[in-house]
Amino acid sequence: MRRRTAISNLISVAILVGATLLQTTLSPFVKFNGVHPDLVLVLVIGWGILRGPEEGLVWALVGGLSLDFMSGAPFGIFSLTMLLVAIVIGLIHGRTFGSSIILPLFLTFPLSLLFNGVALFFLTLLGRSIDWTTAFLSVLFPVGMLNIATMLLVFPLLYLLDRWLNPHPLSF
Amino acid sequence: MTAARNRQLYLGLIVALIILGFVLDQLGYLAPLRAIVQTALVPLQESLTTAGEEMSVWTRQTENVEALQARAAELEALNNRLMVENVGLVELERENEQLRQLLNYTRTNPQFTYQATSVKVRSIGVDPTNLLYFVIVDKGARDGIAKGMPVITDRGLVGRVTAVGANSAQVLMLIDPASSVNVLVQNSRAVGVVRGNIDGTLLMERIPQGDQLNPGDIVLTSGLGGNFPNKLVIGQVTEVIRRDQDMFQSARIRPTVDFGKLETMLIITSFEPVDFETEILNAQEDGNQ
Repeated sequence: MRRRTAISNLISVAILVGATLLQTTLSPFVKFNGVHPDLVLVLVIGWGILRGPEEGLVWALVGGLSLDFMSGAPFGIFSLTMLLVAIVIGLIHGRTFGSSIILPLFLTFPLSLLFNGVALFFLTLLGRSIDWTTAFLSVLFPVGMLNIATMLLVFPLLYLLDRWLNPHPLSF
Repeated sequence: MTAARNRQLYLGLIVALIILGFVLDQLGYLAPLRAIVQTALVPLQESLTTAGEEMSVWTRQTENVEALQARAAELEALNNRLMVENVGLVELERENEQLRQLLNYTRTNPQFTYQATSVKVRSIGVDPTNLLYFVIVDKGARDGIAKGMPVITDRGLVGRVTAVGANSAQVLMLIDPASSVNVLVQNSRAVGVVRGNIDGTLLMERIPQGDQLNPGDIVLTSGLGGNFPNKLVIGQVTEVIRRDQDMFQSARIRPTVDFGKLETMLIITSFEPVDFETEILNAQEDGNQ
């Protein structure tokens, strides 16, 4: 059991650091209307919905730290906002039926708004002047939509990974 | 019940550690750790960026529409280059006039000749989020790069170095909301400050109401404040926003640099930005002694 948890944690670190690297290097090539998908966030949302609050928090922490180390933002902003996302997923988890793709698709947009909105709020507190209307129309909204499309591609892969790591029947 | 309590304790501990990390980062103690992590990831970033560039080139070659886009980008680049050249010529003309007047002074003070030294760098990554505009380049402290140095391309100013690792550096782009540059308009010599926006556009603010500005005017760095050299091209005025009740007017600027396609850049290593805080502190210390 412990060995499985260790392997699972190692895999989460590898996946999330890899996803952050992909976001830093390939995002200029996959930009749509000036924005790119938040792959790390989508992975955290997907895994949190599949595996519940505890594993969701671990993925959120690893993903947030990885973004914090690679980003130019003050340290801690993305870890905290990612934890907030995992807490919200934890509150929803277990109160809905099954783990079909409908739930992650439904949650991706509001959670993307929460993640980027709270991070932007922290950045505003730290002295950046942000026009919120422009931010919503040109960043928060399109990124949320793009993340839904990304979830459509990523969630089946996460589902397969979950089945490989934790063999059990799941409805999909 | 106990498990839930434990979970809350762990969560509280993690949040406290993150906040501690934030405080350490603000005090500058986390910079070496960040530099180590970024330095360790440079080879991976380089490989992934090269793969991305190759994939991008391959896709462009196979699609006809993309070829047309490339042609349009080429023409735009040519247009920008010509504009920059033109700016250079107009500035040279002005400079020539001033130099004629200062000829005697320059003869007696030959030590003031200016020669820019620069380091060619390649973009190996950008900020992973959609909220910040940073670019990571493949040269760092080992190549003489230091915090505050200006970064340019053949089209104009890109931004300035904000963090340096051993073999990588982080550049804050002009279009980031945290960036501000003192500028002047080439024709009217109107001064102002260019700031970045979250949507990747530029806005020139604090232009005195009496100054004349027109769409198409070229905006250059003024050198005021000592953070950037003067006469670096930033962009062209596209729209002037003037309201009678405001103290200042503002203008939207179209940058000459394509911030979405940064590949090779130059870092001006011979330029030393003025750190006013240190200067003031030093002056105060001198005054106290």
